[in-house]
Amino acid sequence: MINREVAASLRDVSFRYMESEEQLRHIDFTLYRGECVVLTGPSGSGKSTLMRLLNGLIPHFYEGMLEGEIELFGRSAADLESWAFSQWTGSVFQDSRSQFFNAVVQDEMAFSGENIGMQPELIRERIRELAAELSLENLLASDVRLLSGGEKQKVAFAAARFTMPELLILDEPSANLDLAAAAGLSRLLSGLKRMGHTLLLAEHRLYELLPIADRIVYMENGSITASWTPQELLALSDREREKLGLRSPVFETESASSGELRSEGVQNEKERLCVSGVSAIIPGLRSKAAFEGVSFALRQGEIAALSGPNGAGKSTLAKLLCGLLRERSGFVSLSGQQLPASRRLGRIAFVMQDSDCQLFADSVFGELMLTREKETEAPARAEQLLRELGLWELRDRHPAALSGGQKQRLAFAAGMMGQPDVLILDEPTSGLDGRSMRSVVRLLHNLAASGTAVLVITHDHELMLEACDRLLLLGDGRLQQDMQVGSRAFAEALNLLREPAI
Amino acid sequence: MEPEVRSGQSEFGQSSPAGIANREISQVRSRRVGLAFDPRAQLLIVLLAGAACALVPWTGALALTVVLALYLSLQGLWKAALTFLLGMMLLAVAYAVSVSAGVTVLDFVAFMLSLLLRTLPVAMAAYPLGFVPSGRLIASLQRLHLPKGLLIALAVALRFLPMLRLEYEAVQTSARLRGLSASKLKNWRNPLQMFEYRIVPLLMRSLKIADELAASASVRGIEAPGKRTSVYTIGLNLQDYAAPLVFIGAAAAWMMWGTGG
Repeated sequence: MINREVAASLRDVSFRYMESEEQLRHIDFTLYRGECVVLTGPSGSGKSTLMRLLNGLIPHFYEGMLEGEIELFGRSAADLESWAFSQWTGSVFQDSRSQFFNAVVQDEMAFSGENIGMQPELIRERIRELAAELSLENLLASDVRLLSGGEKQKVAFAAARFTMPELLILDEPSANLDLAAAAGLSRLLSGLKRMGHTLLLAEHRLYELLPIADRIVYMENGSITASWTPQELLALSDREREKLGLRSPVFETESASSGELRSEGVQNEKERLCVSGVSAIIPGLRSKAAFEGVSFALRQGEIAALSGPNGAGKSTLAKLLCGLLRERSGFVSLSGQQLPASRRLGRIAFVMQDSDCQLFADSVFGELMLTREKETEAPARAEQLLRELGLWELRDRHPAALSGGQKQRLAFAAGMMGQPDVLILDEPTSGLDGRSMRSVVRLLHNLAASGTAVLVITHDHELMLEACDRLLLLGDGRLQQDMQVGSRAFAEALNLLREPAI
Repeated sequence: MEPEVRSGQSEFGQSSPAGIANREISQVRSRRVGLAFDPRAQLLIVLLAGAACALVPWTGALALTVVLALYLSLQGLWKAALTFLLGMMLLAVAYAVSVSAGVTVLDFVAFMLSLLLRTLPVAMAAYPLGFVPSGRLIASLQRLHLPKGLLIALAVALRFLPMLRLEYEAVQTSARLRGLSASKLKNWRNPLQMFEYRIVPLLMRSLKIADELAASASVRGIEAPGKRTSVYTIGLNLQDYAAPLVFIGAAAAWMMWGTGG
C-alpha cells in the first residue's frame, strides 16, 4: 500500500531549547513517502518541536542543544540552509493571523516563490494553478484578513505548497476552525494525499483525520510512547483514551454523561439572564445587521453552548450581553432587572479566547486584586478562587510566566472576582488536548454549581456534550434553534453544522 | 496642470503594463478604480512634499494640498482627498484667526497650528503608500538597490502595524470589561499605571506574534541569498514621471508668483 521509500527520518534525536524546559528525548521516527502521520499527545509533549526539526526552524530559528541524525529525502538536515528546506517541506501553522506575511491573497501564495527567485511568469502560472485547484480564483486580490476561517486555511495551504515541496507539515491546522471548515480541511488533506504528498500533522481533534491517517503517533514528555493504526486507536477503551488524555476519535452526537439529568434540576431555578427580542448591528464602517430578534433565558446554574458558523454574530452577541455594545432594539435583564448596556458592564464576565490580552497586573494575585484594592473581603475571595483553580502556589509569579492553561485559568478567576451573574467564555477549549478539555468541563460544572449561569461560545462538540445543558444555534442573523444537548434535534443540528458551506 | 490630469486619465484606459495581477488588485481589493503609481514615484512625492512644505509659506502649503488632493483623487482616493482638504482649510482658518487676534497667549497655539499646516500635506502625500501591497513595495524599492535587510524590515513593519491595532482593540475591550476603561475618570488617578495596563499585554502579544511571523517567513525562505523576484511587474510609466514633474512645477510656480512678490 505505502511506498516504503523514506521521506524523513530521525535517529536518536534529542533537543533542548535554550529558554524553555520543553525538550525531545531520544526520538526514533521514520516518515515514509506518501504517508499521513498524525502526532498527538498532551500540550508540551514535543509535537511542535519534532515538526520544527523537519522544516528547519530548529536549528535555524529556535536555538538549542541538538543531538542525533536527521535525514530529509536522503539529505542530512544538518547540511541544509534555512531557505533550502522550503524545497522539501511546506508548513502550515495554527494561527493564520500570524502566519500571513502579506495583506493580499496572491502575494501570500507567491511569497516563498519570490524569496527563492522563481521567474515571474512561473510565479503567475503557479498562482493560477493553485487557485484553480483550491477554488481561490475570485479571492486572489482580496485582503487575507477578510477571509473566512476555511478560506484562510486554503490560502495557507497554497502558500505552503507554492514551491512544490513533497512533505507538508501542519501544526494543529483545525484548532481555530468551525465544524464545517474542519470537515473541509479533511477533504483537502485526502486530496493532497492522493496527489502523493507526504503529510505530517500535530492535532488533538482526531475524528476528521482518521480516514486519512496511516498512523497516529502518541507523544508524551518529549518521547514517542505509542503508535497506532486508525483501527487500533478506535479499539482503545474510553478509559484508556481518558488516561492518555485523548479526545474522542469519532464524531459523537450523544454521550453517556449527557446533560439531561442536570438540566431537569435547573428548570426550577431563578432566571439569571433574560434576552428579549434583541437586535444588533456590527460596529464599524458600514452598519450591517448582525442579528435580529434574539430571545432566550439562562437560569441559575445552567450551562448553555452558543454555536453557529463563523461570522454568525456569536462574538457580537457576547459583547452586547456584557454591555460593550448597545442593543438596537429589545432588552436584556439580569436577575429580573432590565438593564441598559452601560449598567451591564461588569455584571457579566467575559473570558476571551486570547489570555495574553486579558492579563494586566504584574502578579497572579495582583491580577485578581486589580481595581478591588479597597474591598475588604477581596483578598480572601482571591485566595479561595486561586486555591480552587490550582494557582495559589503561583500567586507571586508574573502572569506572562505562566503556561497557556494557567493563563486561561487566571483569566477565568479574574472574571469570577466580580461575582458576575453570568459568565461568558469564548472558545475555552480550542486547541486543547483531551485532558485539558476535561478539566475545563469540571471547572464549568463547579462554576455552575456555585450558581453562576454560563454561556460558552464554542465549536467543540465534545465540550457541548460533556458540559452543556443546552445549545443555542445562531445563524443567518437570528437565533435558529434552542435545544437540549443530547436530544435528537441536537444530533441533527451538529451534523448540519458539519456540512460544508457552499 | 489641467492637461496633465487629462493625460493621466487617458492613460488609465489603456492596458497597464503592470500586468493583469496588478489591475486586479486596484479594482477588487480596495474596490477603487484609479491610476496606479510606482511606489518609487510615490516615495519621491513624499520627499518633495516634505521639502516644499519646509520652503514655502503656509499659504503655499495650502496650495500644495490642492495639488495633492488631485494626486490622491487620481488614485481613486477622493474621499481621503476631500477629508484632508477640509482638515487643511479648518487649520488654515484657525491659524489665520489666532495670528490676527494679536493676543500673546494665542502665539503658542498659532505656532502649533503652523507646524500642523506644514506636516499635514506630507502625511497626505504618504497616504497612498499605505495602500500598496507589501510585495509590490519591496519589489519596487529593490530597484533602488536598498539593502535586502532594510526592505524586509520595512515589509515586516508594514505587516505588523495593522495587526498591532487589532491587538490593541482586543486589549482595550478586555480592559473595559475589567473596569480599567480609559474613559473612566477615576482610572486616570494613576496615569503611569494606566499606561502600563495597556502596554504590558500589548507587548506580550507583540512578542508572540512577531516570533510566529518571523518563523513563518523563515520556513518560506526569506533568508535565501539570491535576488528576490516578484509577482508584480515593476516599471515606471508616464504617470510616474509626470506626477513629480507637475508637483515640482506647481511648487516652483507658487514660489515665483504665488507669494505675490
